[in-house]
Amino acid sequence: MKRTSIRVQICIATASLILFGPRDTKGDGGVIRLRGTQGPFSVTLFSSPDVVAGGLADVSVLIQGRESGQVILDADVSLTLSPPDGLAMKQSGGLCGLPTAAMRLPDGINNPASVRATREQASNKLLYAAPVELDAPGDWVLHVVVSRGSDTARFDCLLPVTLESGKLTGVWPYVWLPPLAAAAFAVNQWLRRQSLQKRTSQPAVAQASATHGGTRDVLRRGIGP
Amino acid sequence: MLWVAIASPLDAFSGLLLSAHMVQHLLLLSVVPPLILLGSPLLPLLRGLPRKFAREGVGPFLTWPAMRRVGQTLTHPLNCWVVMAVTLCAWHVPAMFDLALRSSAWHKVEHACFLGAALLFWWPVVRPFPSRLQWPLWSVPVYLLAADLLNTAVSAILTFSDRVFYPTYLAAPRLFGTTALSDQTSAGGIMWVPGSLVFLIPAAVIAIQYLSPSHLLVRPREFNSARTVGSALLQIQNPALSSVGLFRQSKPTSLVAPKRFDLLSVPVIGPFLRARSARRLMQGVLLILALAVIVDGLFGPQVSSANLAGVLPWIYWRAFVVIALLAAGNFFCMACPFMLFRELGKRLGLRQRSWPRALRSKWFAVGLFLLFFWAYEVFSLWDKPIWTAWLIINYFLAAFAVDALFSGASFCKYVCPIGQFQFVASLVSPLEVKVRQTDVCADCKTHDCLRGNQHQRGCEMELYLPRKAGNLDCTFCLDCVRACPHDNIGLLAVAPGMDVVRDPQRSFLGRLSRRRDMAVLVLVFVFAAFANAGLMVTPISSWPDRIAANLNLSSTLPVTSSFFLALILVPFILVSGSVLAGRSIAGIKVPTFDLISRFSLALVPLASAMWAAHYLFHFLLGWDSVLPVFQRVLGHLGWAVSQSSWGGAGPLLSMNHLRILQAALLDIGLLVTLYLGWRIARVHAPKLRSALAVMAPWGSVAVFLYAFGIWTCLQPMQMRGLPNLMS
Repeated sequence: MKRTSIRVQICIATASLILFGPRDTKGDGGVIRLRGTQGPFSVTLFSSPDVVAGGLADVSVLIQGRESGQVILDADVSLTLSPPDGLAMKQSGGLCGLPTAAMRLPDGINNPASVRATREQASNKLLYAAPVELDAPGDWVLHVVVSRGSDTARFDCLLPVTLESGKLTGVWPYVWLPPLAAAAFAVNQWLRRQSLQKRTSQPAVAQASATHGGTRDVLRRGIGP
Repeated sequence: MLWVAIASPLDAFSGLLLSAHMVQHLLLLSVVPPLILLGSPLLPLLRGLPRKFAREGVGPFLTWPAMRRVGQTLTHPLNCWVVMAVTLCAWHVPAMFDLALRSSAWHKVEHACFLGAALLFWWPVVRPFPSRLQWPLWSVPVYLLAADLLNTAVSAILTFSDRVFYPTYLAAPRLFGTTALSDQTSAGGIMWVPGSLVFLIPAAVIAIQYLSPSHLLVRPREFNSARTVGSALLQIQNPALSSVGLFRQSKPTSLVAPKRFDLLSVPVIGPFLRARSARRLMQGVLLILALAVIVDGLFGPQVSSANLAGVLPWIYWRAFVVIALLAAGNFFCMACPFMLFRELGKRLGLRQRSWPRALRSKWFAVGLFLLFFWAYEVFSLWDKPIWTAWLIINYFLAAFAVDALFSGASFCKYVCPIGQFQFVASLVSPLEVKVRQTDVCADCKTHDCLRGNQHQRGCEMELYLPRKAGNLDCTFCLDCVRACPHDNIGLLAVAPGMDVVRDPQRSFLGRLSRRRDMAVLVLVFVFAAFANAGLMVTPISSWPDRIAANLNLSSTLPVTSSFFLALILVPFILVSGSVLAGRSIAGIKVPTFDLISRFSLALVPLASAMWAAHYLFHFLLGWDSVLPVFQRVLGHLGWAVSQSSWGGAGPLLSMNHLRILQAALLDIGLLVTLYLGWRIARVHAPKLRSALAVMAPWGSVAVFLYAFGIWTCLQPMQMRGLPNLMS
């Protein structure tokens, strides 16, 4: 009775938590790309750890007062991205070959070179966030301009973008490794089985090979090149 | 020499000067291969492998007649000469040579061809142990002279030609005042003179040896019979045989099995781990860090990446725990700071009761384990520093309360979900707290390792060392080591996961195949590894959001349903279904549940690899995340460092290398899992066909999990802020 009671209580408590908890699911977070202070601001910039060319990347900014450390929630934050060296910024359209690069912003935002980061776009309301799509691999330079009243500060950092198509190419030899190892293991088992069968069918030889005389015999026959 | 050839500045010059390129080729063709072969690499390589693997893994291949025939054909002098000649001529054809100069990949192929062909060419000349002489010794000088003739012909063409053969060098910037043609002439001279000497000197030495009446030559027949791969293998198979005939050694090897590696015998580390204060020191360090996490989590900025509570537990601690488990053992439990509060609880002197009988299993811990993973996903614990802080506070309180009220290590054994994670993962750890010599324990009457003595308490987890198998329920506290009056307990090296195959009667735990709670715990551990990693990437994590948006649901139902689907329903269907299918195809009569338990345990290596791949991803990308956070914390404490800016040091590994590491980890995990599964199948189905039948459906599940893991590692990680934009 006592045992049943404890189990039932645990089940009810767990079920209640599960059914009435808030809905919110996310993967793990970004990495810090920049932390710096300028003027009255202290800025920390986060981005997805793995920014892939052609994929949507998120950039989030935390603005704090330089002296107080208080989070500032009423600043204007704009992000501008400069393409990697040697690539020109493309104003619109997709990527056609690699000599040009494009930064595409979500629908409804007309200026392709600059975007405003807002708290509404961030899941953590202490941050200013904006998603951007970077179409070319390489080290992009991200310029962050923070303004509040008459105070303005500008921060720059690198945003490395990798090429998605290279992903599988890089790991495919390792994907082949398990089947090859499994095949080698199968052959190994077959050979050991053959050897065992041979030994059981010729007990005298097996016995002989266990002695020094037998060993000499095996050595004399020679194996391998 | 190989480094000089392919990695020194010589390689950089090879694209500009043909003469430098020729020196590089000369090293690869005529210097590196004979030196490698003179080292007789086969036997040292075999000796370097674990004895059992050399005997049972490599041995059957080396003694396989088909392999022997391939080896004989490959190293036949005629074949070796022809391969070398074709390689030399083909790669000096202008089109081929230029292709190698234009493409770095082809350049590597060219070097690989040269090195491979040269290794074959020099094989009959050097005859590395234990190869056999296939042609009489007098033929070797002839063989070398014939090669020299070919070399002379090619080098003469280069030397005396009045036109440049390789256009790339015409376009290359000229160095040291040379012209492309003079450079080509020099290259021809290098190939001709030093290249010829490399053939002529050994030819002369061997000819002199052969003709010298005073020189004792090895008779071909003796040579044939003795120097074989098989004989080398026999040496490995049985060291005692080395005293026979040609394998007499100056110091006979003992027949006693080699002593196992024991971490406690290692200087400095061993005495440190044994010291009573060592554990307190490690616990103290982790306690300070835990307190820092709590304070920053409660009072610092609620941005995970900028808070110690968002960085230390979720980026560093998880990765270090998994690395320690896979590389050594359960060292986190050894340094667990929650244990300090347990001790405090015990010292309060409350009347301690026994842990309720109804909860004396892993079921309660399994529930907490599930609850933790569910909370992690649903409440995004990683992203909420204050929640992380409260989680740790509650952990301390729970440890204190449970061990203040109940006797023994009830918290570790029956409650702690982190401990259960470590216990399961430590099934594949290479170190185990183990008895050194069983015969010493047979004479022991006091059993101090379990009961303790006046100086040292015994095992609180109630593990009796002589009957302890594997790392399950072992917290690496080393109380037993200190309590043993015979100094007969060590941290010994073991074959990871092999106790899963044996399924012994374990002290306190019994047979794992009979423990349903343990099987469920293991399955949650296995599938949580893939669910936790899968929910990190957008294609998976967006499902629940999409479902909720489409159905206009505001409750947690879609997330929770997906979660329980992944951790309860899918494991049950996949593992039970596959094991049952295998059992019925093979027609073996083993209790169903025993079989499911055993095959579930065999999935642990793959799951551990997935955990490692996932956590190392975060650590290697964000290894420096703590620096700006400490910068901020120190700034709050009045240090000036917070005024300086920090731009990030970048990941420890590039994304490509990281993916390769993840794939390699999963490869190893899959292979160990399949091996354990195969061994378990053979235990229950001695016939090969039956074993294959048992193994096939379950093996498919393992391969499916592996494929899912690889796919997950190739996905871009989910990004902050996007759910709001999408909804």
